[in-house]
Amino acid sequence: MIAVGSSLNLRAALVSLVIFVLFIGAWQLGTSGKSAVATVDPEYAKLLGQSANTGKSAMPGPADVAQTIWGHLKDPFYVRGTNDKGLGIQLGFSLGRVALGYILALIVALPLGFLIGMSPLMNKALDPFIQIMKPVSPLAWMPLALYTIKDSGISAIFVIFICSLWPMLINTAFGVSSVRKEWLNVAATLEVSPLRKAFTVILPAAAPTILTGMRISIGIAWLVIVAAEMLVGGTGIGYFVWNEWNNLSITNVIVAILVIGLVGMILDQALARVARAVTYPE
Amino acid sequence: MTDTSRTNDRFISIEGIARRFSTGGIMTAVFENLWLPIARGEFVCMIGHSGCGKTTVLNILAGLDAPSEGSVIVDGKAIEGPSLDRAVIFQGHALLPWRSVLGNVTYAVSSRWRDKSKAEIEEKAKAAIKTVGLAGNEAKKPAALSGGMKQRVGIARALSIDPKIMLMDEPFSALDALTRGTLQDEVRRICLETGQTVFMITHDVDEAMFLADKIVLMTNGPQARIAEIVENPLPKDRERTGLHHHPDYYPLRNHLIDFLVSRSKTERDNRPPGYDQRHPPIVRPDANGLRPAAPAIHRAAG
Ligand SMILES: Nc1ncnc2c1ncn2[C@@H]1O[C@H](COP(=O)(O)OP(=O)(O)O)[C@@H](O)[C@H]1O
Ligand SMILES: [Mg+2]
Repeated sequence: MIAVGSSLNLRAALVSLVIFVLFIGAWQLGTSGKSAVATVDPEYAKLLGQSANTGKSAMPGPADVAQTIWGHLKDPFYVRGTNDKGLGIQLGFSLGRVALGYILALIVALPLGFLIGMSPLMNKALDPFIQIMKPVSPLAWMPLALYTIKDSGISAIFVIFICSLWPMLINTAFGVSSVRKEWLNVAATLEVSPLRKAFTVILPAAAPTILTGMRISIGIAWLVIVAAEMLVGGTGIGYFVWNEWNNLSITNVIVAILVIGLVGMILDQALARVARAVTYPE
Repeated sequence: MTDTSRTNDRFISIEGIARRFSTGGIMTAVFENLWLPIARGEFVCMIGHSGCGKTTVLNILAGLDAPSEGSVIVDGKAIEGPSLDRAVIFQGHALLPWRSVLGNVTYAVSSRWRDKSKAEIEEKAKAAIKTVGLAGNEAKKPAALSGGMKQRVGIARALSIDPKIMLMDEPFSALDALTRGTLQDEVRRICLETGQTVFMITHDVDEAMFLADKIVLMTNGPQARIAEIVENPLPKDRERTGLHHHPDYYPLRNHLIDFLVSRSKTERDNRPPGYDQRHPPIVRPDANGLRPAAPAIHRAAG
């Protein structure tokens, strides 16, 4: 065989391209019968949202989606009333909530994970709580959050906090508890203080495991924010999807799906890059 | 006897230590009532079959483990935990893989001298790296080094903190014969130059014969004992390569091998008449036969 690494990458890219073209082609074919809708200005189509009820499908073709994407790209930050804000602004709201909830979770998970990882007693004592809380869907917290916090925006942030917490907590505790005994012995024989040991031995040793947890958390947080914003409404990419569905603008829903996927991928890749930077070969 | 010579003869004094582990509710003693003096500047090797408790003794000397009974006195003070005065060279090198060669050594130096400037710390670390022959490799990560080079970094890290005592747990057992030989030469040179007191575990008889002033023979465990302390009759200025031509070489070697092959098993339960756990017999096997050695330290201990 002549399959070397680079030629494999090249061939994979080629296959990806073929699949993409086939998909776009099938999509075009599947929607072209209703070209009457497709040629209508998207704004106009929105006004004629009821067209779905008149027997014509509102399913847009690839060209409509491309055109809408172009429209959003040209003007991502417009504000035309509370229910009509640019895609960029909605994304900004979502990212802001995710960032806040995620960072709060990190601030709690790191020290608590250290405590659990270093103390077998705390590990055993807190384990039942974590085991029960972990499988609860973060959205189940929403009513409780709305009731106690009485603010939908902060409630969404709380839900992000709760769903980001567990993977980071569990991975930090695991990473800390499985630091190699001989590295701890090195620190001990050098009479390193506990705080310095935590930062110079335990943290770098556990960093790859902690980053794995952080990567799982950001993925879950990005999944959950869309659902949470659909529930609380107001702003955010989740609300945008829901709002466009109510407007029967399937084109915008498809655009939102693509954007959500893209942002999720970027978040994951960013953390993957950090993970690679803190991973050490043994 | 004056006080200083007493602390020099018993720079390290293991005094009646026991270590017991409970496994599945049953307490087993790795060893009990273990006594061993080590003089200042002495190179002591401990040999014995695996599982007899050598690592346990070393960990207690390092302060990483505590005896269930008894105590270890170093320089007049009982060991209460790890100390920068006692450097450990670990069996598995134990380098921090996310730090470079230089980073691993500066970590030790900066732990020793907390208020030294960065430049001073690096200078000291580089000197230690040079001593073990690794100059030019400062920026490499441990993963990029061979087994022998990693172990050299471990030695450099131990040396860099100017310890009073070096504790080594089978430091060369994972290395090929050639690398092991060169490292043995280097360790011997460094220890003689710096006047280190060394306690080293090995299961390599030739290594013990080349390096040690005294070789401590442990019987098999559990309930291991120090069967004998063997004085090395070979000249102090010995060379590794010509060692086997010395008339004392084979008497010593045969004595050690005989112990490992048979006596280590039989003597665990059948103590020779007159055996005193507190004063294990000191012998000197050389070309003139096996003679009990009776140094001052033995009488003074009583
Ligand atoms: N943490 C521990 N718990 C239970 N048993 C142990 C522990 N550490 C060592 N042992 C036992 O003590 C004995 C001596 O171990 P060790 O000192 O490592 O021997 P050596 O270094 O001579 O091979 C072994 O039988 C081992 O199983
Ligand atoms: Mg051992």
